[in-house]
Amino acid sequence: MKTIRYIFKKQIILLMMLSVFCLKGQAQVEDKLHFNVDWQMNAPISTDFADKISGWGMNFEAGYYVTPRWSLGAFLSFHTNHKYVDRQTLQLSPTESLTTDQQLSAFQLPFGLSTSYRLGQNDYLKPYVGVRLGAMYAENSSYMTTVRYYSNPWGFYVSPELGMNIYPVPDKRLGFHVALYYSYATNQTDLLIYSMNGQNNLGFRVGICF
Amino acid sequence: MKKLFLFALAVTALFSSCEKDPDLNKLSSDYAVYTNYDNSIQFNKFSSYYLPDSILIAGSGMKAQYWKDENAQKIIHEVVTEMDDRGYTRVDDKDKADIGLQLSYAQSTTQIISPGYGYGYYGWWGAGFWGPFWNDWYYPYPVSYSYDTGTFVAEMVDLTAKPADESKKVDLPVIWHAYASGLMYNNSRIDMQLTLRAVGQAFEQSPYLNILYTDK
Repeated sequence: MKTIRYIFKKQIILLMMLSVFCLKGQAQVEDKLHFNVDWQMNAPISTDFADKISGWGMNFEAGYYVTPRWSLGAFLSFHTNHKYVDRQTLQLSPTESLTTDQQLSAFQLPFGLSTSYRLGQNDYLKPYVGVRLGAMYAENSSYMTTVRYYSNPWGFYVSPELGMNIYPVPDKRLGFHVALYYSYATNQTDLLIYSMNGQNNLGFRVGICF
Repeated sequence: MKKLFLFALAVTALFSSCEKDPDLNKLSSDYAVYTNYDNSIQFNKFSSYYLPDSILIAGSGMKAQYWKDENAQKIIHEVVTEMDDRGYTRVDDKDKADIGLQLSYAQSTTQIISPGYGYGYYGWWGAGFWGPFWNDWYYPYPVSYSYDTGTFVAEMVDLTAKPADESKKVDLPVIWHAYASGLMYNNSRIDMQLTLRAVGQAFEQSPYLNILYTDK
């Protein structure tokens, strides 16, 4: 009987220890997980297609700190830029001409993996440098009064980023997030008279982190 | 891997609906005007043209219907003015004309696909209208387009391409075409004004339609 009691006691202690480890493990996972939800301002550069800066975009990101400074994660963002082009005659080919005005629209939806490295150890301000790699879906359109011509190419996407998480109350998970980014995607578009071999963007994001 | 790909596609489809549409109210009410032509043709070799006194209404059924009222005459008059300004002379006998012009108005969406040959729409101008020696007609250049409701179409055919032996039929080439489309205002005065402006634009962006043109 003593032996049985001893085995039970030992099992109970082991279970308690395991549950403590589990709880501790769960807490650690939660501490290491972090999320960003941002509004973004984006300006296409080095193009004459829909290059007007706009704030029609968002960014979503989830990461996990594999070391205290280094995080790995995934992201998805989307953005639309427009540009009005006054009525003009477009030479579509040596024999084709089209006279119209247009609303040009460039929609981009990159997603993939992200990594970042924290700089400094301030409890309130946590700056970082990061880079994103992935794929980008684009939809470049020319809207006329009754028709829309469009191209929806895919490409590879890379984006270095410099950002900062701001925690007004350091003990709380919730904070603010700001970031500056540049992005390049290999998407190619030939639409009417417009030809794009790659898409470049500059922008910034403002949002929350938790 | 397949599941991941499908998931990525589903996410892409979901978020692509987040695209912000541009403000289409900024767009001008003027019609978009498209022109194309056969660049192997020297349009200055022609001097006379035949233009019917009616406009075909496409999409009104299998049987062709023609528009002949005062508004139709205004459009025809505008085409005549543009052709005359470019040195061409209108003739009453199509057998004596170098080129023919046919005007059409798409009453409903009309799909035309022609990769050089063929013509897949009934209720349009028949090649036989231009003489018994024309079998069918074709674009010497690739075209593939759809005319939306309310589209005005002008086509020019080369009547000098008729066979030496008139008992043998040949195909009639369309050497120039133009179409104009935009929003209909259901106001005949405004729609007419926009159509007349579009006719003028079609000729303006086709400088090769001139008996004095010497760019070749």
